[in-house]
Amino acid sequence: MTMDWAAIAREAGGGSAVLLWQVVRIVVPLMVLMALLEQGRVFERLSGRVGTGLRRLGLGEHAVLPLLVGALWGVTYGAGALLQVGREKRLAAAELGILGLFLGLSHALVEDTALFAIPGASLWWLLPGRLGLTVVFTALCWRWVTPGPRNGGAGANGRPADTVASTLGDLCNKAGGDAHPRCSNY
Amino acid sequence: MPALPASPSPPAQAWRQALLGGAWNGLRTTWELAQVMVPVYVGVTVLKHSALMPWISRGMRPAMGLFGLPGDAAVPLVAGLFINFYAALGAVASLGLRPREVTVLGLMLVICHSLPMEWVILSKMGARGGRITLIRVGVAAVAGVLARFFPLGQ
Repeated sequence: MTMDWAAIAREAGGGSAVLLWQVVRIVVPLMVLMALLEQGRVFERLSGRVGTGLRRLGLGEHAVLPLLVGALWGVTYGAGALLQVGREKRLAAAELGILGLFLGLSHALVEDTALFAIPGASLWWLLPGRLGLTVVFTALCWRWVTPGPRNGGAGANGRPADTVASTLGDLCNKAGGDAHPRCSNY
Repeated sequence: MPALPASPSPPAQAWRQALLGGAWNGLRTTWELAQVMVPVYVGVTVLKHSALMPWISRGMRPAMGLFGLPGDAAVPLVAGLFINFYAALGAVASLGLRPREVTVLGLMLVICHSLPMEWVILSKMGARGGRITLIRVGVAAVAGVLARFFPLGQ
């Protein structure tokens, strides 16, 4: 099989130039929007209102801002906010589990979705599909990803961590108490 | 809002700086993405025309068939999982899949991408990065299988 290198080079050069232009048209306005939202402290203002709803889901006040920033900005570009969560250690273990799993599945919602529309994906399936699966699987699996007190937020917020710790303690007792290798972590 | 004076007041200046900073940030981000996306686009374009592609396509057909995707779709999927989302974007753009296939692949990839790097970030945040990564892979597979039962795209 012979390859027509000139045609391939034309296709690669032209195609990647078009792709790049489409990416610029999405990423630049998006970054401008994000900078303006940041300047207007919109996330901080929103977090008060969203917070009341989220508290019912087990997320306290310190979890709301990282959730908003991560869901819209992303894990890579919002990494600063998430790493700060790790340094400050103000979140309870259960909150870290819920927040981590939710953001692991759904982050950079605007950017990821808009970029995949370039090659022709349907926004109307990507966004609701991703969010729906995220909510279902976060509800189903958050306990399994909740860190023990050693790695996590050591129960700064009281109730959620205590509840999780006692649940995990029960599980460990059932599994054979101290003899169970995993139990030393809790 | 009052008309802008000749020398902008401090708040107006802050907004202007935010605007320019955002635009600059966007260009810098695009440059960073391009360094991944363009080489992958070029590489996949060459691969597509090579004798290797039919072989990959045949080999991957059973696995990708689970998600109603052709064997070729394994290339962007693997690029997305191990490199990042932008590598996957470059690969998908070069392949020229059908809209429905791009939507299914896109759904799987938005859920599950850049696994090594995001594992580290989630762990540094204090969450259990390894377990979250396992769940992401599982949910992406569930999404791909479920997608077969939905009339996505054309």
